[in-house]
Amino acid sequence: MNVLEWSGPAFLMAYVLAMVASVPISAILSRLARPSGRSQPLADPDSLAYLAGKNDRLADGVTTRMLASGAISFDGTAFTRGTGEASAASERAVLALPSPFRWKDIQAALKPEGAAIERRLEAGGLLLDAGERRRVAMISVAPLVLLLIVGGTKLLVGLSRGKPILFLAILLVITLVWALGRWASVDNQTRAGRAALKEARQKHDRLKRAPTTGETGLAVALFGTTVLAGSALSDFHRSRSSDGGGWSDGSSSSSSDSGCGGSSSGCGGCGGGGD
Amino acid sequence: MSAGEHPLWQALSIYRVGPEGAALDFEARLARENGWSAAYAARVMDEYRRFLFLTMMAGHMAVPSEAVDQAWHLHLAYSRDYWDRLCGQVLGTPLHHGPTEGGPDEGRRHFDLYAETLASYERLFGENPPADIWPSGWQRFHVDPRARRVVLAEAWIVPKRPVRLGAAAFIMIALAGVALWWTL
Repeated sequence: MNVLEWSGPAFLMAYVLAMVASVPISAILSRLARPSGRSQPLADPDSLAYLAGKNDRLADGVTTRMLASGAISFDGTAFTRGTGEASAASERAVLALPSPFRWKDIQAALKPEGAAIERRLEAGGLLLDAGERRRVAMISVAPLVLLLIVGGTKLLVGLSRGKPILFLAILLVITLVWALGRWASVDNQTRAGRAALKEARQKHDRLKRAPTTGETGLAVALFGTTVLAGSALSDFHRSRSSDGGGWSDGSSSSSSDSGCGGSSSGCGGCGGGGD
Repeated sequence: MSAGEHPLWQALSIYRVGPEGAALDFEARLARENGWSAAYAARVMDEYRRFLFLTMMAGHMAVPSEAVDQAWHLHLAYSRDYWDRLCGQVLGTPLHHGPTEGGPDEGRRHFDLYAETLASYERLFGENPPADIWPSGWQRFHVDPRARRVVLAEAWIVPKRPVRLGAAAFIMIALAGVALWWTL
């Protein structure tokens, strides 16, 4: 049974089916290849932020915490020093910036802190080092590489015989883009790291819906700036979504004055309190 | 003392609105007016009772979800039951309903109070409020208020998501068919 001798339609059909099958196969291989690490609970917001989304999420979490505490303020484009004080090393790094400062300045100021957290998490068995991550990524894309080899060979066979190869070429390009995306998207968490993050997210599930002012830093660390949509810090969420830094639930393009929430339509909220 | 042991909660947990034995009781009317199942309306009523407890015990103004607010609105329409039985006999104090005054500041204030309400719920009842009745702040203040009264005899209600998914699937299949036809 030489697949290279199959007719064009039969090969294309088999190729598409193999592409579909490679989704769960890749996921299973990735899971099996991922080192277990060392199980432990994690409560520090900065470590959780880095574990969840590396430097960008760390900067989101620290900035949100400082906005909530009044240590800094945001006018929609730039940040200025506020009246609050820093309570962590990461916050002191931001407050050392000359005011006013921009988002990229915060990111740059927090990079050394991010590197220190990464080393701690790697040593603690919650993050993979570069070599381990590369090995997991290679195993994850192996089914797609196999598809590319078989499909590419069939393409050469078709070309040598003067057969139409356009549809197969399109599928090969899709497979290549998919493989590159899969390679880039393999995260560097160990199984213990994933479990610690999952446990923290379950424990603080309520924060995903509407965090109180004091909880916003941890909420953003765990779930991203989307949790700020509609809140007093929604300007920061919108700025992060518009520059592509935050993951969005589709709400980012709407202003807090749109719809009915808190607007003059009067249907935003009803408060009750005993008197 | 947990909420379960509190005398107010013990009174609220068995509270039923309206006259017993009515052909259309409170929960059935709540379900009918909102297009809910009887089971969902019963769950909303459970959450409304918890909300009433929060208004008295949370220590701050409590803000309900949209579903719970619908139960509150309807209860206010049963004015004798609301003012005489609930406020007079169970709560022991008037509980007024205050809609937002509108504007961005009010929107942010209500978002913060909704967040505080969810936090107080977790603190007093020892569990997270159910997400299908107490949704995210965004859903609460920017999506749910877009509900409108619709006369079903004059309009169809077509959910957007299945239509969008169906249209996307149709376009994908059509494109694949055209590509296959062109290639083969």
